[in-house]
Amino acid sequence: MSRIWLFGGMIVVAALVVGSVTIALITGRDVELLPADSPEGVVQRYLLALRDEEYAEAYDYLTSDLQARCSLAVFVRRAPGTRVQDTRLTLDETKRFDDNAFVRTSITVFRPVSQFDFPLRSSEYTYERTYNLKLEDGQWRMAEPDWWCPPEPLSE
Amino acid sequence: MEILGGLGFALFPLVIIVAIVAAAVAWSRREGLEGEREEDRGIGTAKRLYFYGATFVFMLVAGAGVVLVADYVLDDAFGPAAFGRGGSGSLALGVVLAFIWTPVWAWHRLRVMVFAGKEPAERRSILRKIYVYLTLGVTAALVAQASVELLRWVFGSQSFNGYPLAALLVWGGLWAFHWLTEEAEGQPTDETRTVRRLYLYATSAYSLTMLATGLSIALYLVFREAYDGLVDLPLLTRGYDQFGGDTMRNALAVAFVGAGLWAFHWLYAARDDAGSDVRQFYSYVLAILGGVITVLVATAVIVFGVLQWLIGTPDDGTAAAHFRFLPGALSALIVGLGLWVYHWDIVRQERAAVGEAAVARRVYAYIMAALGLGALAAGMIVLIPTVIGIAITSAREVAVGVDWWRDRIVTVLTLGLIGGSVWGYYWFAMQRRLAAGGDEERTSLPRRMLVYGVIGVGALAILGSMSHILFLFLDALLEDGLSLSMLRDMKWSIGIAFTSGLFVQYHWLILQEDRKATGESVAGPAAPRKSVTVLVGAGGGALVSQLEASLGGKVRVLRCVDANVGVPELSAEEIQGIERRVTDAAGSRVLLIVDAAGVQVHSYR
Repeated sequence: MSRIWLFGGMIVVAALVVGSVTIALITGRDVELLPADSPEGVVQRYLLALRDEEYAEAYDYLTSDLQARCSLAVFVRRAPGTRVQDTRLTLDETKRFDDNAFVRTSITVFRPVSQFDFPLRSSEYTYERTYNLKLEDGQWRMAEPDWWCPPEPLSE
Repeated sequence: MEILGGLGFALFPLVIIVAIVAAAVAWSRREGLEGEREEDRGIGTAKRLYFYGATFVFMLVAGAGVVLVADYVLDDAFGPAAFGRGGSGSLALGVVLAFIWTPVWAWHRLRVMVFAGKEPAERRSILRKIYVYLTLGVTAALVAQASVELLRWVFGSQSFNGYPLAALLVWGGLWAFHWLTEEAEGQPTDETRTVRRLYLYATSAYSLTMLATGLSIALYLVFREAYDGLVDLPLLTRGYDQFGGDTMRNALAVAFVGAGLWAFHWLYAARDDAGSDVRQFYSYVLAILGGVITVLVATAVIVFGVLQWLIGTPDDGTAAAHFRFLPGALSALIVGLGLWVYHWDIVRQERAAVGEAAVARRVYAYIMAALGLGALAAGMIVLIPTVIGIAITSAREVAVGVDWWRDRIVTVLTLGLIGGSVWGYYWFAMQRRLAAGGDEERTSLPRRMLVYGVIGVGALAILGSMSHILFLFLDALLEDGLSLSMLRDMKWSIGIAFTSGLFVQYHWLILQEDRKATGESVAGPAAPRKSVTVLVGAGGGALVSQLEASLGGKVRVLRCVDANVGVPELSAEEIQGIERRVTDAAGSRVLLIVDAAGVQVHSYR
């Protein structure tokens, strides 16, 4: 009896795996780009540029104030490009207030501690991050860095 | 550093094996079961300890040296261009270790082989077999680790490194050499076969764990991709390849190596070992129990998640986000079920062929009953304060929302369903076996441990919780502050006391029932067992076994070396008569002298 369960189970699992791979291949896609003139579209392009280590492009998405405070060289050193690896960002919500916008995202990190981690042992975790943007010359720009930028010198 | 790390990783479980075997050997020697006959002494214990211990250590050091040299050569020949190669230190060390320690090891190893040729008793030596199987165990573990690293390079998740190939060749070669010579030598006694079994099943256990872990991660990655595709999450970025990239490659590497190691040791090397106690212990207590626990935990995660969505307060607003646990739970469930059903099938086939070791099955069943009871009790402990909080407003925690009770009820339902089912199935199955098993089942150690364990832990819990309740009551009374809000602090202790009382009472009644059925005295302790020593000549093994079965425990055996002592053929009634004479003997130590005429019973001090 248990042998029947065993073979039946193997067939079911094989069918599940084949079905899952098929679904993943069909629905799997490169990430769809959101409109470039929307706050969430700007956040997306900024993060994609960081993921692809296109730091000059990512730097262009910062507000002029931020660019004045942090040079490109500092940005390249400090920007969390590597942190975009092994993560997935999903859009939760976008809120606009006049010239400001807040884009709330969920960041899921999957990074097993060792090669012997079980999936149930919380090697994947999710947290929220909100990006603040400002409208500058008709373009949305990243207003708050998620990395450390040296503070402005005190005026005398 | 990698070699040291690998050695450390490999040695730890083997230390446990050695400790178990050493304890078993020491115990069997104490009982005189491996009597030191003149013809069994072989090369002598001191010489054995030196040669086998030294050969093992020399092999490790020499092997490490050769690996270091091979690693350097391979890195130099095939590795990526290094910015300032700084490995000449490791090359120098490797050359020194290899050139000095390899000849020393080789000479000792040759001597070890010569001993077996000159002294046939050496093949029966447990120390020799411990040396051989410790060597096999350590080298197998190092081969496993190196194979995983090599496969990771083959699958493209890391750049070329000479160490895995070097380690695989060196430790693999040593493993093969020791395996083949041991196969030719064989295991002529029960004790030496036990050492072999410990190696086979320890290696099977960790390789099966590698296979299960790698497979479950691979399945999880596939199911996660499918889930993400089905629910169509609004993705902004994805920082890894489809199907998990390097994580999938690593998981597959671990799974393949685990599969190979497990298949060789379990499917091939242990294929004719049906019926051995070690195999049954492995099957029931490691493989089946491991599979069942994995299934139960995964099922509990799924049940909790579904119930939380239906009646609880999920953290995520959307079903797609809330049910993200499903790929992980499903993959663990599948792997756990596979372990459980496969090993259950094996056990059934072997039970039909060679019978069952009741001990292993009992241990498994009572462990499952204990786990189920624990979950059920936890559910009840959560239920009672929840009900109190729902019924009495002032008993609730401060600043909770109106739906505070929902997740608690979900927890209660999950623990109750899973725990209650498991405890009910296994406990009442064992209760039904009492009718067939009789006194042996009722007085078995696993059953007694469960019953006394529940009574002991429950009694402590009752005392602790009642003390807390009484303290809160008296404190409020003395402060003139008696009110229903005391329940806010008391309710968890009330839950613990009530639940513990219920289960302690039930198991106390079970204990009384068991004692009545076996005729044990309810009022006082059982009479102490006597220490029995048997002086018997050659060929008395069967009589010793009969006496042990009748007396209900092991006896100490002294081998009589006089010639022509003889062993009597005794009937079952005569054996029982000896048992009565032992019980009625004046002292607590009894000596049985066996010769052709019969068995004399003497008390001594």
